Amino acid sequence: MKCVSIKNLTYAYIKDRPVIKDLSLDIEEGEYVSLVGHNGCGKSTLAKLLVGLLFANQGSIEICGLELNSKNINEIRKKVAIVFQNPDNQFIGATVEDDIAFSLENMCVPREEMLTLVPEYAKKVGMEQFLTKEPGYLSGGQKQRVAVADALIRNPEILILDEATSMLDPAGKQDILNLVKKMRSENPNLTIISITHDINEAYDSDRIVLMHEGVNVLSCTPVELFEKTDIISKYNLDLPFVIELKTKIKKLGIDVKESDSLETIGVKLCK
Amino acid sequence: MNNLTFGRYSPFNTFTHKLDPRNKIFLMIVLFVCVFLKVTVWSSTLIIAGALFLFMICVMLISKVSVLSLLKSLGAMWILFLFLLIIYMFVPNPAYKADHIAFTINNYPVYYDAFIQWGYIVIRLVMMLMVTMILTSTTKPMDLTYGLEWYLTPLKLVKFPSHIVAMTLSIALRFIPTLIDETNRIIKAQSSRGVDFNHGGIFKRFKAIFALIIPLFVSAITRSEELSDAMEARGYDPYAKRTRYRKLQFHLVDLLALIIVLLVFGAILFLVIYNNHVSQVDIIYWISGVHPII
Repeated sequence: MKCVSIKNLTYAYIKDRPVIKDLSLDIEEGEYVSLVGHNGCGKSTLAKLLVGLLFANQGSIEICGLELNSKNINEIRKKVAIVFQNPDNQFIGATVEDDIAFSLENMCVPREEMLTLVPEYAKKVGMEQFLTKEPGYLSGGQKQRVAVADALIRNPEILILDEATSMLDPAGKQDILNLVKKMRSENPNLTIISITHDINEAYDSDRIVLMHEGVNVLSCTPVELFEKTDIISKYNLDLPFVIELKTKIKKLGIDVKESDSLETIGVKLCK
Repeated sequence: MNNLTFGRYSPFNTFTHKLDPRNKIFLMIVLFVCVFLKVTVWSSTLIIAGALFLFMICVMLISKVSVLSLLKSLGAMWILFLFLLIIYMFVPNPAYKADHIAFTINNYPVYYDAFIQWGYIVIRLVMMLMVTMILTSTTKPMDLTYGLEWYLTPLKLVKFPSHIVAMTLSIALRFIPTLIDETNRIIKAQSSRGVDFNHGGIFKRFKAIFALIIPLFVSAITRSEELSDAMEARGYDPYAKRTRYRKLQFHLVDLLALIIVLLVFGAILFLVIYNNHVSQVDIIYWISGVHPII
């Protein structure tokens, strides 16, 4: 089932200088899609359009069968959750528990339910010991985990990660990525749209959408994308560690296929 | 930027910490009134003030408010006290009695009453400072906001958006540490680019401050924009109905504190009314049978 359907979307901050040009994209339910592309290609603008923080100049966005417009924006926001880049600027509550409860308060969930839900979701992201802590005492990764908990507690159908890991240290980043994996295994119907600069992160997704100057240039699986060497050099993309490893091993004269996992490569190397 | 120690919340678990913030705000106001009640006979006023002072010292000790930080903030106020003293000494007041001259400076008389008036004011200021300190160092800023919001609720009848004010206040409080960090970062960044914040004349320093203020404002505005995006994306609508995660509760300890403070208030009020309207007999005479010197 189509979860997100974007048709001929155009958006411009300044008139006649569109950031997103005639973009069309379909995303299936339960799919994990990575949006990659250079700075200023319109990835974050697209994310803001998807949660209704901005409204399109032309074209339409349909989310779970509902067309996004200012009338049903509240309905749509219940289905879409977003985690932004800066952990500090999306921490609204005074403490971890207040922040996780913020969305629930907005959704008018009764207090008794909140009292059980908040610790439950804090536990899911491994923040149960920090419930009464203030943001000043948390690391960036911990704050971002709280943001993920807050996004998940709303039980969304679509989760958008807008460069959610880019301001974190490697450990914090890995925490968030593991969390995303865990969420997917727990709820296979959750659609994830991840905007990222980290090509290794994108490599783990089901599909990569490459954007350039407001247009989606390409949409294919990671394995397919990194076979297209012309596109990679044209858009100056980095190669994921696995692919780089494979090409270097190939140069050594060992036969590895694109679909081989790291374990099979290891086995082949040992031979 | 790091010495904002006055009345900062200190996380203990004392009797005062456990009180409902609404109750604490109310008690603070009652104590303020106590501080400002005045008896016509000065000796009684000073004795009442002294008793109140002792009471507040007890509360401070119970709530583990640091006396040192009180002394520090008093130290910062010495200029004000000195200024007041000079004003009371040299501004003529018809209420001063002619035979109460303490000494003269170049034939200008200085009255005992001036010192007594000054004493009233100083002790009142100190006590107000103490009450405020007890409140702010035993109550989380956020709880204070919730307390204030509760007091503002009746204003909803006249369409005053008390919940929006409370949300704004709580976000402002939430971002104070973040902005202090940011300020320190900008100071370091600008110092490394050659801006000198610590030397030079007033004009030069004033110019240097611009190098701090402008980036700080820009970053604060960017932050607020991102924050509003995050709030909106999480479904915040200021005019919609919301439920509350935090709930303020009036416990038994609150009742106890309320009774104690109201007893103090009642006692003082009784003394004041008795002294001002029934009999001018002052407390020293009551106790010792001797009239005070003046």
